[in-house]
Amino acid sequence: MIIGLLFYGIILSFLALFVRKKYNFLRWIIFSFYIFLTLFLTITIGKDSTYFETFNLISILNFDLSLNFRITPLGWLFTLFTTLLLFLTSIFSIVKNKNEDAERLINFFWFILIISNTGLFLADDLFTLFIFWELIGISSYFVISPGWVSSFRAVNYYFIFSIICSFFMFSGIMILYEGTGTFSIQKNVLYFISLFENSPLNAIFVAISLIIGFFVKSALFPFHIWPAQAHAKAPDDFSSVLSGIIIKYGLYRTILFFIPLFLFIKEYPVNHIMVNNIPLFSHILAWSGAITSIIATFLAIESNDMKKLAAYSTVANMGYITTALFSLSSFGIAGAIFHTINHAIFKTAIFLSIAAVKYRTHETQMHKLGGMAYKMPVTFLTFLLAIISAAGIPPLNGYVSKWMIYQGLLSSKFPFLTLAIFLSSTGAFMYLFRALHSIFLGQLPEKFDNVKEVPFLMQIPMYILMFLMVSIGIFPQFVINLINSVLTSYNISNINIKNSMIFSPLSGIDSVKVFLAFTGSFILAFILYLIGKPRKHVQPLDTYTAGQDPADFNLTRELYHFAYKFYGPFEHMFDSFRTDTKEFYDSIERKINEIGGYFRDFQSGSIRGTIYTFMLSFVLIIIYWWLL
Amino acid sequence: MMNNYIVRFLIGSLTSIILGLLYMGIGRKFIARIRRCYAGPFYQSFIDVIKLFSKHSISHHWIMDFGIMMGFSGIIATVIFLPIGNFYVFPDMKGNLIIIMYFMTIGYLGMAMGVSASGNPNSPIGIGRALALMIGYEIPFALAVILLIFANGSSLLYNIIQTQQGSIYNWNLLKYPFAFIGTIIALQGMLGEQPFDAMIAPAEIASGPMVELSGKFLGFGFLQHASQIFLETGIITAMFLGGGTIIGFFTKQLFLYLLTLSIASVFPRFRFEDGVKFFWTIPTSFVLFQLILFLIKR
Repeated sequence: MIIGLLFYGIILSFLALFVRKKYNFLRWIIFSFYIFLTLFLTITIGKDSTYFETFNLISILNFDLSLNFRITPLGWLFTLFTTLLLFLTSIFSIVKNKNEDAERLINFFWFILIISNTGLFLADDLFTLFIFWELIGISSYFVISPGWVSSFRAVNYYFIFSIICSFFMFSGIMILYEGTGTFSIQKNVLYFISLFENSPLNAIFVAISLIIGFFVKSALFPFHIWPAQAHAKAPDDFSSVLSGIIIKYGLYRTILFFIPLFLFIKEYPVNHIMVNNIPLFSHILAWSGAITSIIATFLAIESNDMKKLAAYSTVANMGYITTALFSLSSFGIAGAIFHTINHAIFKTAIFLSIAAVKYRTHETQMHKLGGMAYKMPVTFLTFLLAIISAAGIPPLNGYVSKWMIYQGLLSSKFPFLTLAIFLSSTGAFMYLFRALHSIFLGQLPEKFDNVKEVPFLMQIPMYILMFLMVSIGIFPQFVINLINSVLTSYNISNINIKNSMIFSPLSGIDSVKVFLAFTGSFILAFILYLIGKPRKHVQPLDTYTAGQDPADFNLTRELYHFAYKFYGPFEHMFDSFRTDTKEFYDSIERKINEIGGYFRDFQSGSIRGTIYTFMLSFVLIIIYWWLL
Repeated sequence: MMNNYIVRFLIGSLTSIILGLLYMGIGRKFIARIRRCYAGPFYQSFIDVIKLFSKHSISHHWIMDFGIMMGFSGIIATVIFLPIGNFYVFPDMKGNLIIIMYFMTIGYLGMAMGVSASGNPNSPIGIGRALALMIGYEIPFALAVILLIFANGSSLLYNIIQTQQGSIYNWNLLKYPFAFIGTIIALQGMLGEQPFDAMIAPAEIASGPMVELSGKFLGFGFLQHASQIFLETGIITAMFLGGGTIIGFFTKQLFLYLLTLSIASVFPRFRFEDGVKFFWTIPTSFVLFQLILFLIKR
């Protein structure tokens, strides 16, 4: 069934290539339909099934290269929410790309992406995982930069980081394969654990090569700059996929490999260095998450481009998730998985509302916008709920997972990690409010007087996302029960949840009551509002000029929009700490160019020389192989 | 069941409003005594609020109305989770500290959204300062919260109060004096009193966030501030001064508020970035010192 699904996806993707340009939207409708099919199948298969499927691709020299798929609780959960969010994004894309003069290949690459998404999460062996991993990397490369000059440089950052990531991942996989002789994930994970007991040096090499891939793909420090480049320059609807979903792949793979390993070490800590009852390596990873979240938070506070701000916010959230995951308590791991899902939901909402604003205004610099809420109320409400959720404020979905993260960190006694999360969380409130104010509130510039709300088809995903954010916030038990089955598959104690009441070692919350408390208070406020004398509606500029014509004073609304350098003096506090990571990578790029230039001179551009070099190296490789 | 909750909810919210206004009135008289001048009666704040709600008001957009209401309801919703003496609205969530800290922010967000929608540039300037100061005072406060959660093994204010019962020597004030000093300084910032009143700064940015508020909107601002005083002094009372019975709890709150005011009335104003720096150095190192002492002792 899974192979059939992927196969039909490929057929549909080729069919969509033949749609004529005049009926561009048809192509995207086919795409949405396919994602809906995937979603439907994912739900019907169910999380508890022990479904298994094999497809013999080819087998050379004892190398069994077959595609194996298996449904695990974790893979199923990730497939479910990524497919759901991809579906919502695809509905948004129908209208967005209708009049876009984009290459039809973009749609093709989106297809490849969604096929690989399903394949990656349901893969049962490392070979399958790696194939789909690479397909995602390549297809997203072409989607980010559909022939635009502006995004070409950004996409190169993304591509080079992806290549580094796959290179290390491949070497790690190959070392594991050498030991086990099979690509099966379960066997390799067991071998990985035993490797840590028998030959720690080898194991550490594998671990580092796998973890570098995770660091790169999930944009942890010091690789935290590529999202700000790639997410910001990608097409607007694709940014939400990049930020909400693609950044999670590294996390998925890390959960697969490292959580069993660290839990094993935590249980049998002989011969291992332990800090605070968790392995030292895990502790370092948790700290790198915390450092990432703090750095990304301050970078987000400084950025003036709304897509960059959202991209840095993604990096900060990946930091929280990493910290919680490697604190290795059941609440930490569950909170990390829950926050992954919640982050995907609210970040999709943030990026879609940004895309909606950009669709109408073609502007991403925040200080040039303003007052969009008065023209686009649905987009505004989506953004508002998304930032409430992102800041972890009750009663929306973000707070449940953040609360769980805090319970995990506090109950396993990590004071300074908790403090780091507190700091970046408060910082999150700062930059999110700044985005809300600069884009949606304040003064509406005169040039945007005729802006309208986006078409209804674009609003549909926003309504669904708002519904998801509110309902998961009130009834988190539906998601937590799914996460509990993931925890069971890793032999971790479940989250104690009874209806909507979650019990942690430190306290308990009932999210329905939290919601009711807020609703009750709002009703009280509304009654007070009705009791007070009715208000009068006045145009903003009228109050500044005491009723005279603002034009007489050369006053425009833009002059009154305070958005540029919103936290200026606060940013100046960090002037002496500022280091330019981008400049660091650029200098590496210049060095590599220099070396490349040396080789270019050496070859002197003749094709014959190149061919000779190639043949010589080929012969050398064969001799090497033969000697071995 | 439901009626029971509604009654408790009303008791909790109205207590916070009424007592908060009362503290404000007493505070005015207190400041007047320090400055050797006269103030209105202690019930002046009630008169002010009633007067404001009965006056005409102007609004620029529905988001402004919505934001102001959301700000007020956020603070009220937080008060619901605060133990008021030995009174709890939700018996199964007796003062969940993490929820309280996060719920407070929806009040700030609502107020900030409402005043931003008014379009006056002074409001977002004030809000920007307030949020920057918030990242300042959150750090010592969060450290103190972490310390108490570690010490009690629970993040419920109820349990933190329980361990302080018996005698005055059990109070966290005497057990963790440095943490208390740091938290008191953080409280100064939370309430927005001098030297951390850069967000209001009447002489610079014309009362900042409140500049466009009139009539009932200003009334909401008053009520929100009143509940905020009640809430924040209440949290510190429960954390460090042993909670207590109803009367004892209110007295301790009033004491904390007057302490804040007496500091406020003798200090000039910090620039807000200096305020943030101050919060990250002096109070943070006090609380950090206490936390490290605690961790070493454990």
